[in-house]
Amino acid sequence: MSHHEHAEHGQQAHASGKTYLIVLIVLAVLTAIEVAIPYAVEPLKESMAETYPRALFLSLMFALAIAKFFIVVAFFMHLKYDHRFYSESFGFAMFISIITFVALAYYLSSDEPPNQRMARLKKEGKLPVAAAPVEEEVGPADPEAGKAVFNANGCMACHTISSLPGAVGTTGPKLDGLGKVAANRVAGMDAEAYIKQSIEDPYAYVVDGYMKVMPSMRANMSAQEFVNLVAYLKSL
Amino acid sequence: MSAAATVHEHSNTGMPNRKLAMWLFLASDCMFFGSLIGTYLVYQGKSLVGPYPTDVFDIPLTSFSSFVLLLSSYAMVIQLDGINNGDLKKFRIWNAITCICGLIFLGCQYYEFNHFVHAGLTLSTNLFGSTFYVLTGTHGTHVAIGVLWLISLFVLSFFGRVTKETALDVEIAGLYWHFVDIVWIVIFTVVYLVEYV
Repeated sequence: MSHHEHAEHGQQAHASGKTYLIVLIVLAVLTAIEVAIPYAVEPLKESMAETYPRALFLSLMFALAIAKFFIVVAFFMHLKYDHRFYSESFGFAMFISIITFVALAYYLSSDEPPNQRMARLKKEGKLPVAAAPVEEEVGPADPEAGKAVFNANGCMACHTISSLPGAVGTTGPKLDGLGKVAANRVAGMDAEAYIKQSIEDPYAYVVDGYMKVMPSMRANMSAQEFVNLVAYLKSL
Repeated sequence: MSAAATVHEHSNTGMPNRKLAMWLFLASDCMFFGSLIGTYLVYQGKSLVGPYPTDVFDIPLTSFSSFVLLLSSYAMVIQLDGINNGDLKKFRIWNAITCICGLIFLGCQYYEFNHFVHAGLTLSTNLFGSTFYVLTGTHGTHVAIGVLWLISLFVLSFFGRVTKETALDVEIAGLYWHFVDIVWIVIFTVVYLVEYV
């Protein structure tokens, strides 16, 4: 190809500094309008109820976002003034991603607006609830048997107990001295209550620095095993 | 404003190879973000447990950070104009402004993520947590890389490595930076604002 001196092949005039400032102001205004829409339509949700045109307002916001997108691409990224080929290749890729996205959205969409789905499920009583506990006869607690329950349920995968070989997990807190620690962890909860909660409802209180990943283990054991396990843990 | 200076590059297309390469990369990045945004949208509203988006979103803060990012794109353009004219001082000032805006945006993201985690939203809490953090975290990573790139240009300018003749380097960094901005334009609308309409 012949040498290029001051302009690329196909490059036309440049925008002026003033143009860029105007573009910025336009972008700012479009952003302001976009942000204002949810606030502005809030009272309409009640007053219009069933006829509330959510799709219309959504389309308006998407149109504003798309307009901003194209303005930045055309002016700030200079596509308006550059060689056509840039626009063509970028445009083609955009086209591919958009039709892929539209196909995916269409295939997996439902008619129901997302934020209404939870309300409906709640009303229909379809949200998952914990199963009612079955009443069981429970004898005196046996910490030794509790140790077996600990082993049987894979607890050592995440917890360390120095006195228990194989219990070397570090995902959850170390359990040495748990009997003392548990009594003071949460105000108003004694050691036994805290240990029980940790097994039944682990997300209720998570020790600082640890992830919320412990599954509820209560359902995996009988009432007797549960009592034994709690006694074992309290004895540490 | 003068025409862009270019290196005397020979290429089959008549366009600088690196610039075309960046555009093609951005096209692929579009598909990447398209898939992340698509995933977010498919799972939108389907979390079975909270926190839910409206429990944690802070629209005024996010609007502010969106505007800051727009401002950074403007600063990027002025920075490029500076180096196209061989004005190193203008380049450096507006490069610094671009970087500062980028850092403010990242600061807002960090603050926001922190607040969300304290409210109980983590990667593994629910569908919202997973899809939200992956999408916005990937975007934030892109911004961070952009800031590092721009800072390196700033530093290199003191060693004579950023000149009118090598302005293409800044132009290409600019393309990446604007792309990061337009992705956020889409994310802000589709993730944040739609929850309130």
